[in-house]
Amino acid sequence: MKRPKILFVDDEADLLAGLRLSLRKLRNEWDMVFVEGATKAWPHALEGVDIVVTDLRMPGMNGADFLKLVQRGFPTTTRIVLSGYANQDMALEAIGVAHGWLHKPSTTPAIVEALRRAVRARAAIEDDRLRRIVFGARAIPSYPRRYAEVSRLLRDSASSMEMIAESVACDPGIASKLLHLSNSPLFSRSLPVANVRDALCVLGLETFAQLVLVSEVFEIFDRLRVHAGIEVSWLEERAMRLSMMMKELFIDPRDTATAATVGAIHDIGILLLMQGEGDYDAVQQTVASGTMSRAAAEIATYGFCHGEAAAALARAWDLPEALIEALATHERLTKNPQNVGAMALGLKISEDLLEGQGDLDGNVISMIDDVTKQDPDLGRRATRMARR
Amino acid sequence: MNTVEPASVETLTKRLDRAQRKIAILESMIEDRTRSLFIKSAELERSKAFLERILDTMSSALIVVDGAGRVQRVNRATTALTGYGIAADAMPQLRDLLDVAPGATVEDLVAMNGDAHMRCKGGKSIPVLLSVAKLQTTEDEADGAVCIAVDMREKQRLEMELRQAQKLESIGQLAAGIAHEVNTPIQFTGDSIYFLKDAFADLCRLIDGYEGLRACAPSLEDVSARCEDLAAMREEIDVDFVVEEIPAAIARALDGVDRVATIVSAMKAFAHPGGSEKAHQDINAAIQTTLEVCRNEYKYVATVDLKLGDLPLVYCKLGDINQVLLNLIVNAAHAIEGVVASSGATGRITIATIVEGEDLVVTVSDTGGGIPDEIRERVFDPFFTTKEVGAGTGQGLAIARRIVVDGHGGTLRFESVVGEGTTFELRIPVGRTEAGA
Repeated sequence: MKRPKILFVDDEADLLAGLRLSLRKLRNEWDMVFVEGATKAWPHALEGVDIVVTDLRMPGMNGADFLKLVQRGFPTTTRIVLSGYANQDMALEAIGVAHGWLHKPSTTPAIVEALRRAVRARAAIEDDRLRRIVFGARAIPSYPRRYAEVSRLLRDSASSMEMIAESVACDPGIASKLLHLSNSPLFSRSLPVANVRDALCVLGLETFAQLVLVSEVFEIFDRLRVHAGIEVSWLEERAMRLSMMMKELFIDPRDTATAATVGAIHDIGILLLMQGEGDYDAVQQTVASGTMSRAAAEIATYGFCHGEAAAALARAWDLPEALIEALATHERLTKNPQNVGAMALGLKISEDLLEGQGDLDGNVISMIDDVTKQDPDLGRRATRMARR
Repeated sequence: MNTVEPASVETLTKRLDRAQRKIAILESMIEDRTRSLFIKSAELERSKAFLERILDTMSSALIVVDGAGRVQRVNRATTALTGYGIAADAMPQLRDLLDVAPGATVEDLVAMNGDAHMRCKGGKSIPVLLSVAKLQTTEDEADGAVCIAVDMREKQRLEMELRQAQKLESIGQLAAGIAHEVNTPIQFTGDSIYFLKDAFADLCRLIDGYEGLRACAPSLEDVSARCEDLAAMREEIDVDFVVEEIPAAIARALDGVDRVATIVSAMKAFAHPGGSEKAHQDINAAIQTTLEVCRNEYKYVATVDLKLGDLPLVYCKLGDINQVLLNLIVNAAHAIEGVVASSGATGRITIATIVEGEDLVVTVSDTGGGIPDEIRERVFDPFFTTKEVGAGTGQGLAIARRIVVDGHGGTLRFESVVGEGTTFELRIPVGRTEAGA
């Protein structure tokens, strides 16, 4: 495989020289370029790079603007910020375009580890179109009613953290971006944050409010491409019910919040496919006709399914492994079901029941059997849910 | 004639009646008068008590003196403030309470209106705002004076708090910038040392190889194989590169540590410049410290030109002067930022120091947009700010002016040309040996 090309941009020559030496050991693994300032870096971007690592505050063009330029010109590039800047205004500006964050100062091993993860996230996507969809995703579509409700709750001083978390957990766009940020070193210095409520605590309601109400990170769904076959209200309903079903299946307090979050962000895959080139309306019609499962119809049209798209974005954003795993494996269950975790099985069962495809391939019954082997109580709850 | 006799009884009776009616009338009149007198006196009593209550409720000290400055009357606030008893004779003379020259007239007292200090029982001195008015009972001659003294300690405390708050605000703003300033050298120092660690391990491996070669020198057939291994290792390690880069890495690491140390000691010098009392201070050094602390505020938008003259040590409160310098430099940077925005162009901040006569003069000039005519009057007003809500409290220049004028007996002025820039001039006496405040 070709060595991935990594472009480092900073306004301090000393900093670049330090990086160049400390990362020298990896010169056979990566092709690295170190450039002083965004203006001089642009020609290198034009030559094509896989990963860009940039400082934020620089004289002339700042890092956020540079990343926006890179995103527009080369949407499949992984964009990482390496900054020690504590001012959140500029950070919020870069949030919409950056995949990863590295705090300055970071140790060499931490930088190497983060870059290796970024390289792995890229390698995990084989399909070029999927890569374009995932890395080029400009704004995260939010559902208009949910967005309005979250905004209203954030403006109302009487809203509790619980109420806001409940509402956010019904919008894949807001929930996944919230997790993205709360897992970045920009806000979090602790363990992976795998659920919406913890993410809100890490970020703080004030920052979250600024993000939702002020920044341009979110785009309202119906301002994006309009799909004749898909009603926004259908998507809204889906996200809420998936999240609730997952909550019902996983009652262990250690799992509930994560399960609900998996359910909430699951549909980000569908939203990504809709943004990409391809005909999602055809998928929707096929699913409605009852001849194929959603994933199968997607693979027939795009070559990949919503689960893979969601997992690819989760990997690009460095979300916790528990979420990535459930998203990545739930749709390809038939390949090797013994390796699939309970969370992925639960997600697939919920989705199939929700789509009314429980009878289509007889899969739900066998999946409930698989789940029962792993956790009898979970199996009983799934059976009860399937009977309704 | 005996005609009088029978009538006289009747007449007498009538007279008696009249007299009795008169008495009754008189009695009722007396009663009326007594009653109205009683009411009047009660009213008088009430209004006296009312006046007393007003005097005692007053939060300001009230002292009434006669023409000779003898205390005639005080209110409760006066005793609370000074600690002396309420009775006029328990009070000392006015000159014991205030700085009044012996033989001062009422007019002299009136001239004392304004800031003053009141001496209390036990010798404590309290800052007060004094208001003296002539007390006149006849047309032409003053019988005394009414002095009202307002305790200024709370106001002074609030002013100090405001000044402290502004200092904290500016330090808070600086903190983010300082973090950024420190993060960069730490990053490249760490990276350089990480390289040195790897390079040392590599060189040790090579040395081991050479050692092995030396050890097996007697058996010659082994040597050529080992030489080949060593050449490969040398190639892999890229010894020429490593040897060339090691001194640079060491220099960079030392430079990084130096930069962090400079920033940290500047922060220390800025935040704790040694007490709040006036002392003889090096103003050029203070300017350099302040520039170091707020480097992040200007380095992306301006270069700094220093024209520092030979200065004697200046008698001042260094912490306060630092705060003034910081405000002027940060304002200059913001003015330039407003012009160059994110165009990548940079402006210039020129800081000059010079001694003119008895005065130290510091000028801070920027190449910003200048101050528009219509707001020049208000630049030093407290709470006046052109920055967006949340970006500044509008206290910076107001407090800077107070520090310079009230605290150091100096002046703070500016000249500004719209479209060209602004120059602030700070001027304080160099060798003042007594506190001005």
